[in-house]
Amino acid sequence: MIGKEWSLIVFSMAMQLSAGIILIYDLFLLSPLYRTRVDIPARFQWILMIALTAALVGVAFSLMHLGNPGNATRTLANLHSSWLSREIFSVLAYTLLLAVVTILHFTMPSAARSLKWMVDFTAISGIVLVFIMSRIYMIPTRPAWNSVFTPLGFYLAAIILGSSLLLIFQINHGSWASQKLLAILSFSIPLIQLAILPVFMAWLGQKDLVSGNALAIILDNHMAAFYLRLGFFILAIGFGIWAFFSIRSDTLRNHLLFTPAILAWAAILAAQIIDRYLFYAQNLPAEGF
Amino acid sequence: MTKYGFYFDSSCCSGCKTCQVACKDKNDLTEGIRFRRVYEVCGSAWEKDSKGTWVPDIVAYNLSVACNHCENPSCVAACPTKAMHIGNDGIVLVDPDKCVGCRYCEWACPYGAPQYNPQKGIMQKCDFCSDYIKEGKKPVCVTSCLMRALDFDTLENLESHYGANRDVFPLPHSGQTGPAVIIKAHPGAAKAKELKASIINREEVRNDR
Repeated sequence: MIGKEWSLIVFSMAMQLSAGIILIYDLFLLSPLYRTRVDIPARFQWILMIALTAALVGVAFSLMHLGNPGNATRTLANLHSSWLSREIFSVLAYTLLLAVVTILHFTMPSAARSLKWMVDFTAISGIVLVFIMSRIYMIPTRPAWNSVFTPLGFYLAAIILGSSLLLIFQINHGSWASQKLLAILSFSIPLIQLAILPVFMAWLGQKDLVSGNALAIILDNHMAAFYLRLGFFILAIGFGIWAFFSIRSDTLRNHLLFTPAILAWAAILAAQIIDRYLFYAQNLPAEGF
Repeated sequence: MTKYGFYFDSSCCSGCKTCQVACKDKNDLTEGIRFRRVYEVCGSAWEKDSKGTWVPDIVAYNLSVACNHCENPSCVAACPTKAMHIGNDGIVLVDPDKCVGCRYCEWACPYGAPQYNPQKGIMQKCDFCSDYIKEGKKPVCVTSCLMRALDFDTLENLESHYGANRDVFPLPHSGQTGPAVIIKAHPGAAKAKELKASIINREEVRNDR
């Protein structure tokens, strides 16, 4: 059942990683509080490049989900009523904006500071994109998806995927404040996700579908993945806290941050992949048809 | 505009699945694709009678479900390419030249009507046997039904013959999409929800490919 959804798992996670990177980059790394001595340093161009690569990977995998990709250009035909049509439009708009911003940062690095408004705009379009992506799943025929937990989960995934990757990029160059902030996000977001989990399970446990209780179906069929996700969440929190306490104001000792930052990123990525896998496993029809 | 519809009598359906097979044969459908599906609904419980004896309370019936060519079809609203559309006589159709095979209509339809064809990479569904209608004939599922549990006509005629009920457990409430189907419910269906009845042949009828 899940086999056919792998392309959607990669697509949704890649787009959310990209949107998360741009959001964190725009909100914190470009803000005067967290910015380092050099204005828009060269590595920021590479952050944009990674965000763009993630978005392009997402677009490629979205095509792999289609049975007949030759008709992909027609998918913008129903913006009036189809959330899928709107999602494709917002994916294209976001990727195009990001491509323009990235190219301008590479070709005109001296003008990068004056292009802040474009990064702002791209970050906002990323926020809109994540909302539209979640809205696709909020349909009455799929009760386990049709709740506020879907957009909440997508936004938290975007923030944690973006911030934990940026923490690695900030190891040798970032300011003390930016490193601290990203490390805090690296363990606090998985902590929030872990705290939400029992609330979500209690809510899912109330969904008595014709085919059985939604929570019981998920637990019966995906028990191993469920516990694996729990384990990676706990590991991510542990590595994130380790990363936080490894940050030194003395930049010569920043190498201490490398191991926990990499481990935190790996645990977070594994937790988010399993989380998304379980999300698609919740594709349970309300009436069983 | 003439609006066609199906009639289904759940009280006399034997669950032989001839309608399902006839439909597959007529439309030359490959393995896993079913424009019409026969769902087996079953539920049971024990209860104490007046003498204190525990007796079983059982409900079991069949539902033959195809596309209901709804008045407000959620598949049409969800389709990003407008391949899924309402054609003449209110028949909901897929345009194979426009379909992208995203399967979003499959998620959106509460009846599981749109079926994915992995060989063609597009969605397919019941079209009321449009070619037969043009020849003045009824859809093949209706004419093949041994028990005469299925019928087809204009909704107006069906309502005058059979009444206007469109609901039976566990079909979604008809108010959701306005299905063009008239249903005579099995007598046991009234207590199906109370007995926590469920579809017991889900693996058989679901297109998981």
